[in-house]
Amino acid sequence: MFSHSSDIRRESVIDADVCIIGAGCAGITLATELNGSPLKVILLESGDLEYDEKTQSLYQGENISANPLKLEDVRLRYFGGSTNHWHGMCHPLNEIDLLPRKEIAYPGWPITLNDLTPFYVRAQKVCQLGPFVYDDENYWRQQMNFSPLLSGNLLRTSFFQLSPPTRFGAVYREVLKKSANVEVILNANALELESSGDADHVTQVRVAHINGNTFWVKAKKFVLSAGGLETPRILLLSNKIQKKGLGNGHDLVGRYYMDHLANLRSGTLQFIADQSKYPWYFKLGTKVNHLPDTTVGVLLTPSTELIKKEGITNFRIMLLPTPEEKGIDSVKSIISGIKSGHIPDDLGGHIKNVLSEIDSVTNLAFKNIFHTNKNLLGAREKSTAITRADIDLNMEQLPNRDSKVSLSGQKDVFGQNRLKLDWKISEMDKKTAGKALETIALECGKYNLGRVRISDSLKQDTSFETSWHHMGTTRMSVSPTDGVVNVDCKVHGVDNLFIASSSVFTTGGWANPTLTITALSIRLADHLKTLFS
Amino acid sequence: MQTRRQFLMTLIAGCFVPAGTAYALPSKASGHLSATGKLSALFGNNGSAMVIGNSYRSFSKTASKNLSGELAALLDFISLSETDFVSMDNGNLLQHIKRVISKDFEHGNVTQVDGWLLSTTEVQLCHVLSLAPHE
Repeated sequence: MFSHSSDIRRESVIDADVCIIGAGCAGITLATELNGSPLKVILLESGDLEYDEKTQSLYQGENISANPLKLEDVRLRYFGGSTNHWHGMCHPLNEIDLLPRKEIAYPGWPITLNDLTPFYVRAQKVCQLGPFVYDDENYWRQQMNFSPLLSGNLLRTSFFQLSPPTRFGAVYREVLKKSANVEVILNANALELESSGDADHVTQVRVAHINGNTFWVKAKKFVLSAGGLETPRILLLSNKIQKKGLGNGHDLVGRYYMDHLANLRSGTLQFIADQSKYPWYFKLGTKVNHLPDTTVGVLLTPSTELIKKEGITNFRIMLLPTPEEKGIDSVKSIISGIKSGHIPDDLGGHIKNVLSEIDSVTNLAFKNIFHTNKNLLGAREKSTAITRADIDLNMEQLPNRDSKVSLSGQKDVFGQNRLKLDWKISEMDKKTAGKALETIALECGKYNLGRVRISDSLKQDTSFETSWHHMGTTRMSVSPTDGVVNVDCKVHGVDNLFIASSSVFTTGGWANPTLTITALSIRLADHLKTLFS
Repeated sequence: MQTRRQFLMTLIAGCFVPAGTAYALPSKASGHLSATGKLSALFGNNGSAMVIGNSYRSFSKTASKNLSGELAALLDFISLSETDFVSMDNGNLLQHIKRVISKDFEHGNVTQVDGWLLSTTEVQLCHVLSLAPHE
């Protein structure tokens, strides 16, 4: 059932068993999992069914980090949340992502990949994906005649699946519309969680329409599912009793903010020969026709051994083919350029010329037979040949206590503090970037695939862009001194408040977060059902 | 029998005769001719090698313009004596250099040239070729 906050009587109180705040991937997954249960569920959504500028502007905030991202641009505030603009790239976290690592000074995930796997399997269906098979090279070799570009010990091929992408708001709207026990209230902004006693129990949430109509939802259990930025904001704003914010007794809410560090052009890979025979690496996804709902993409990721040996974080590399430069094999023009003191800016084509000669005895024979200075590949490449690719690097960020969101002095239309982002990039993050590029350069050299140019910009904080993945701000931990939620995603010290969001991620791995958010939400729904039963 | 210096200079002199042309030169002493054609055959596209070599030299603090010394260093890199270098046929020589370059990458024996991570051996090859006089 759907309703609008403007239709709710001013100052009224609505009772529920479960109140979910935020209707993005997590909130909608939770609501659909609880659909059909005996529980009365209220799902509050700040926006409407479509994008609205005024509501979206509630996401504005202050950004004091080096990267100039705007907080209102990196997420969407209407039914379906940021799944209204996601690309659909899905992969579970890797085993190593959930294990303690000596480079990470803070405790890691208190759960393992095995704990999550049954929920990943169910999340596949929610995200409209194929079978729960990812990095099984033999499997994909059979399914799509795949063969690997690199087979070394340092880099491996990983396989991701592409969701259509599932627009959660559109796909699950009818299910929720027809639901007898779930009520979705649109245009309902959760302003504050009100608690009793020592702030160890949430009694109700204060809700308002953007034009001012205020009401409350009382519930036995509350779930915050407002994303990695808004979730900590609501906790920090809920500060009537606990002055630092609800669940923030150890000053951890909003800290450990992480994103996936993106650099679309971290380097260039100049292939020695045309690599068109590896098409899987050069496109976002390949449809596997005989498997339902299965589109698979391919990328390069570090082996567990490399991560451990080098003490780096996880990363993934995608190869984006770029047009081949022209005229590079004109010896006369090169030599005349050199004579006039001009050294061409880009050595890539020259490197290919030299290396393809070293690489190929055939090439030597070609030159000798035809008395030509042109190398075989350079003279005969087709326009569709893939001989050069930009290296798109996307990395896990090291958890960092000083990378954080907090309340800004700026106020929104409700008179509430906006968010302030202080996103920090550490030396360790830059080390991982450098090592990632060096590794692909060494591997490509060793197997004579090509040569890599590393971008000068990699050493600067500003060379990394946001992937719009906001993680870590209410991290999961066994002890309340190390995180905000426990293994059941319940806020430490608050007996009826849960969080379903990437904000609970302790580390981010390289995988895009939506599949894991969905899996954790299903897991939480099961847990809530158990609590009520 | 050539001296080491004679050998090196002979080798260098043939570097930048375009591929193919080298084989059409008037006949000289047979050892001389094979040395003359050697690097030329390996690097028909000398212009590209020169670009890389010049770029390397523009920032390197250790690269010298002493052609015979740099060529000797190259032979050390590829672990070949002068005699082996001359006697090895071009196909085998290419394969040998390719293996050395692959080992360079395996052991992290690399040099950055304008951001490009290259094997130290291949950089030295280009460096030597760029030092030689050309037409």
